[in-house]
Amino acid sequence: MTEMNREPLLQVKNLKTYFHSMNGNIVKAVDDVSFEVYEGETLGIVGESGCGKSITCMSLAQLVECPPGRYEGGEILLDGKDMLKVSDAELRKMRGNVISYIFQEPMTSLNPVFKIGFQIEEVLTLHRGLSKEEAHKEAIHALDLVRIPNPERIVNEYPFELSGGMRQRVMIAMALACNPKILVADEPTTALDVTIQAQVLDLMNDLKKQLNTSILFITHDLSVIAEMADRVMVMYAGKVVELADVMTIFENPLHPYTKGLIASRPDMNTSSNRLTVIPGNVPDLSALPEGCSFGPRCGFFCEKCGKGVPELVEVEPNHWVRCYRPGGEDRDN
Amino acid sequence: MKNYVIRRLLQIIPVFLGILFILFFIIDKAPGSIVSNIMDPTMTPELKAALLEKLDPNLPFYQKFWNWLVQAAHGNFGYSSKHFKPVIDVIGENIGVTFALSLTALIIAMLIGIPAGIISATKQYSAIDNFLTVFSLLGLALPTFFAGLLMLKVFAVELKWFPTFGFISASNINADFWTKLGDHAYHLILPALVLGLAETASFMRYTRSSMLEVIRSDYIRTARAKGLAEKVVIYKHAFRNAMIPIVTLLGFRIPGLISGALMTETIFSLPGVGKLSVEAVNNRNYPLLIGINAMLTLTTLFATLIADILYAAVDPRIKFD
Amino acid sequence: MTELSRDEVIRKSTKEDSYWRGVWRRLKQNKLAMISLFILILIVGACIFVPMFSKYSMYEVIAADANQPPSAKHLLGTDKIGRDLFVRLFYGGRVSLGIAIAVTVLETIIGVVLGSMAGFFGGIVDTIISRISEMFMCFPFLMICITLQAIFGTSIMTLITILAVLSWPSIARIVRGQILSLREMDYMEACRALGISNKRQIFKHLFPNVLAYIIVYVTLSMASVILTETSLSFLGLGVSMPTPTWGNLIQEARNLLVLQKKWWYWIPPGSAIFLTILCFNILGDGLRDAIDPKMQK
Repeated sequence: MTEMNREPLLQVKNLKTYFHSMNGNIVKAVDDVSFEVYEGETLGIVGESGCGKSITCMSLAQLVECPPGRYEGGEILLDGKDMLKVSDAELRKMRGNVISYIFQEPMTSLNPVFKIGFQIEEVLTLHRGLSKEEAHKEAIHALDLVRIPNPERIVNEYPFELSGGMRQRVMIAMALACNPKILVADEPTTALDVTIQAQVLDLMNDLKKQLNTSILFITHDLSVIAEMADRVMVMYAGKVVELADVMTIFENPLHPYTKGLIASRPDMNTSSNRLTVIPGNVPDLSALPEGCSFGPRCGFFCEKCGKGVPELVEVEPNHWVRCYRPGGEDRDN
Repeated sequence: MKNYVIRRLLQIIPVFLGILFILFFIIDKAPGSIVSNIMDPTMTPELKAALLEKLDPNLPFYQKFWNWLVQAAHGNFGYSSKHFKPVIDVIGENIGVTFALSLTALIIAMLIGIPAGIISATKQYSAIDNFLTVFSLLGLALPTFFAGLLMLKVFAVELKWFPTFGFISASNINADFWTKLGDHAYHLILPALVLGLAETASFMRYTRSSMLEVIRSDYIRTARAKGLAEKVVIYKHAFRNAMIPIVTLLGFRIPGLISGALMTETIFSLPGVGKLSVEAVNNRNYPLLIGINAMLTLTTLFATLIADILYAAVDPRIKFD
Repeated sequence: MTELSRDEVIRKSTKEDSYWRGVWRRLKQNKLAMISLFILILIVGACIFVPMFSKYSMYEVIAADANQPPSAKHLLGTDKIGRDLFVRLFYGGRVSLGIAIAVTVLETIIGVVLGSMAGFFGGIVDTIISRISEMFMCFPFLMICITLQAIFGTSIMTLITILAVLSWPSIARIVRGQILSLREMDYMEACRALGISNKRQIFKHLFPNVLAYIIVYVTLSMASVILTETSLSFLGLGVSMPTPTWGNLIQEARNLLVLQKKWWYWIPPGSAIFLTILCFNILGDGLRDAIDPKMQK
């Protein structure tokens, strides 16, 4: 369990990131999201694609394209600063230094025309003020740290000469080069083969222990979450619907959506050969249903759910749920 | 890199031969015999006899072609009876102006078009982007000759800022080298601007669309996430990638640039290859026409090769294919 | 090439006409392109009807009216021997547009035939056609036109043939590229899996897709042929007087005196060329965006 009495490293309060489309529609990609990340912990964010988990994380360092995106409100307190209010220069000082990113697509996330070494050195000279030679040595060291064989050779290669797994290791090396306080990993293993996935995840876990970096880990893959996260935040249609530590989420999920996600996982232990699916599709964010966004897909839907949006409430210590009928009280037997 | 250049050179050979073949086919169809079109009257009778034998109209086509090729390889593209000189010399005297004009226009186009395209792309949908987009649409639609006449009318005839024709003022014909050079430059400004206008428009358009595509890519997001300044992100990370298709454009634009130069020279009466060729048509000077074609085609081929090599230089992926 | 989503596969393979309806709908949203289309219709209409209903004919010389600036009698003035320049402008438009249409049709036929041969057969056929088109693309276009005109004479027919023979490589390349990429596409795969025969695949699915690109090309080609023809005529090497074209009407302005004093000789035909090329370019861009919405900004 995470110690809750410590000061959080990152505190997001009521973050709202909206997209304004040309025809006047407003897409509330991130709608009133609050959470904290503590030092040395991994917070997992789960949800279907389009639920706002990526935009939430991009917002942290103002990486959302504006326009069409716009930060409509909230606070992002990181290292004592509000990331939405700092100056551009200060923001750039934080990016890659205090908060680092690893993205989903290792194949396209590295610049194809620059050598691997240069791309890592760039962060080092920028944030740590190293000379070219020092940065070069550090880059080799960083590649060594992410267990890339022959780092002395790899620094002089171009991204296209490396496999996807290797490129993702380079991304990790680059992200960790300046010892950031928090690492945001946006589906870092989704595009990789399963065996490579496992290696990359192991590597991240090891490095986390070694460097005491907090990780914000986004994925739609629950088995990955189980392996990586200390606490889990479930998002649906731009909102947090459940937040608890990883054991609680898997053993006692209370939001019907979380329940659905966990039930839809292929399970080796049950004899049933049918997968449970959540009926329906992710709603259009510019035309959300009245009341609870999950309402139309929910098995426990009642009159109340169609009227108002439920609040996120702490139903038991450190277990937050946004639902009028957590666990589907009356129907539970 | 070396292998790549060698391979490209090898690929060019069949294209080169094909072009020569087409040119020969045209000469063969031109009025007058090949011999009369290629013969130099100052040749000794023995040489003439040898040439006559080689290019005998009754020889089979492929043999004539081969013999002509050998002549062309020795630089003998024919003799211009109007100038009393071999064609190659006549072209040599005139091509300098054409190159100077084209090169100046190309440099203007790159210096203005590429930065304008970058600004347009980074400020998409802004007032400046709209302005530049309209400018490039207009610039691409304005025919060189009409643009030339308009500029001539406004800046030379009405405002009298620039001379209306020629490459040197009458008073400067016997001046020293530097005065002459300055005067040449002065005469070149307006034509170069005219020719540069259309090129600027097309460079801007290509740069804009290329930059727009690159700016949206994942590695630009990575560059921002690293904390790099926006200037570095755009001018270093994005532009290095956007340059790749622009370099290809450079190769493709050469034939168009030369055509434009021909038009511009005619309008401004510059003593270049364009003006020379219009005269050659009027004088039915076929050897000169063929010579000019051969020369310009080779220039284009060579320019394309350079563009290819540049392409390999900016895109690290290419060398290893 | 972009990949198609499953929905698009289904849509494309079931309802071909809805594809064109979609293109038209997207084109209609593009105001600039619609204005251009409208202006082009006006220009073409004027070129057809103005010479028909004018009281002057294009060769008619009214010596007493020579060299007059625009007036109520002669809307765009007269030339040095007293021909009405208003009627000659629109007659010149007929010739310029007529040549552009003829050349575009011819080069499209040549280009489509050679391009699809290269795309379908591949191998040695592809290599030969591609190399030949590469050669043609190296020629300094205007220069070789001048030379050929000089050798084969300056009739309109020769001009059309020369331009068509020299311009087919671009369209051949487009068609070849399209066929190669379409062959690899998801919905062709889907057709194959559904057991639709080869011939049907080509005519029902491939053709409309390539057609879209050909239409875009044809529009842009109209602009470039007009440019080439007027350039050649301007040099006195395209269509020769007394037949007017937009290009040789401007030729008058190569005389410095005309440039200084007689704007009505050259400004109207020059503007006509400029406007027509501009409209074809905008319409072509609009069509491209309408056909391939993913390319849109």
